[in-house]
Amino acid sequence: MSAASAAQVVLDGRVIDDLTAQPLPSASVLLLDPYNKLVGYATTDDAGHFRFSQRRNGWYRLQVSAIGYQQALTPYVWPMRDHVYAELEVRLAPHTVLLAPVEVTALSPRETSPVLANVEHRRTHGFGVQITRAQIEARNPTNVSDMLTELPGVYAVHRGSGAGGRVISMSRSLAGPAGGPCVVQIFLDGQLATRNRPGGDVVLDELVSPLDVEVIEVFRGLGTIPPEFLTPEARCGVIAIWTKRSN
Amino acid sequence: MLFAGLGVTLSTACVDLNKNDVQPSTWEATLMPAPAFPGLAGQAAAVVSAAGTDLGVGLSGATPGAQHTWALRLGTCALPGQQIGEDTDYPRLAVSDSGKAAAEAILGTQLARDGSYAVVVRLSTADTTRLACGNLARR
Repeated sequence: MSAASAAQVVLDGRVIDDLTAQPLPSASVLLLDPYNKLVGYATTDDAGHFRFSQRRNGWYRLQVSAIGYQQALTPYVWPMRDHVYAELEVRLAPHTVLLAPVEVTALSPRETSPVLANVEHRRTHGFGVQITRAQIEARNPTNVSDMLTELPGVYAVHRGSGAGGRVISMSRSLAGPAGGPCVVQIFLDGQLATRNRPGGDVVLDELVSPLDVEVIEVFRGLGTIPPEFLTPEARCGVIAIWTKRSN
Repeated sequence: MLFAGLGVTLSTACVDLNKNDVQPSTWEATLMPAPAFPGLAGQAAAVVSAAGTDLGVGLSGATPGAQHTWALRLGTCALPGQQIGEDTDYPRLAVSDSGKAAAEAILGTQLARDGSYAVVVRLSTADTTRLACGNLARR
């Protein structure tokens, strides 16, 4: 991988139906790095467009999915050169199974998804601190990190220049048992986004917007971390972010 | 650029230059309450690395304001053995108003991969009645 560009670069494109060439709104687009780690996530707008802003040039690929379509995994691309916008077009092939029309009648209020039911269970029976959608709307933060750093023991550390280069650190991560810093583990919709190597910290505010967040869970100690988030680096703290998509 | 061939990927050879020779291991336990304390629940987890063992415990359903002691022991809950480390290695479990408590200990020793270990929570230094216990299992 060559040297990173200091300036922000943008990757944009659109998702369309492979047969009709019509744009696909609400498609899920994941941005993966060469380690296959999630570094960005977006949903397409009504015109099928998506956009990612990244601080570093590099090889990336996209994993795109939409209801009723086959999932697509693109080849690696190096789109971010000289800050030129890359315009990618991803075509999704529809599933061939034809479904009969279905009429849905609501008999009861919308139920919480199993994912968020687990989050709620942890809120009442488990450990950690939660930042709910209602709290986010009341606070209306510019960045997700703005709310996290208001919690005791949670800090923002600047990496590089610019306001967008903040990574989250916790008290424990300042010095682990090995004597060196370790990386707070950040999960986005259950997927580990943190790369566990030097410089692998996730710039959280580039990963997700407060507008997309349903709830945030913060676990500061090993004894409080749910088994599904337990990794060797979890001793440095875990942040689990659940977006509206998880509901 | 156009990606029409779905599911097509280019293979790349990635080498992790930061790979450590000593692979850390994680351990976990569910704490089971003693019969006299049925409302208690808890969990424990440990990360073993070349530098030692980082061990954490969480307790819920406890009496607010209470301060409990805990430790890692060789053996199992049914047959606990010698304590690992000194009493001073284990910070007290100070129970919050919500009945929850958490604490962490850093031990200089590594757990043996095939060893048996148990996390034991006791009422206090003076009263060593067992509150809860869990057998650590390596993942």
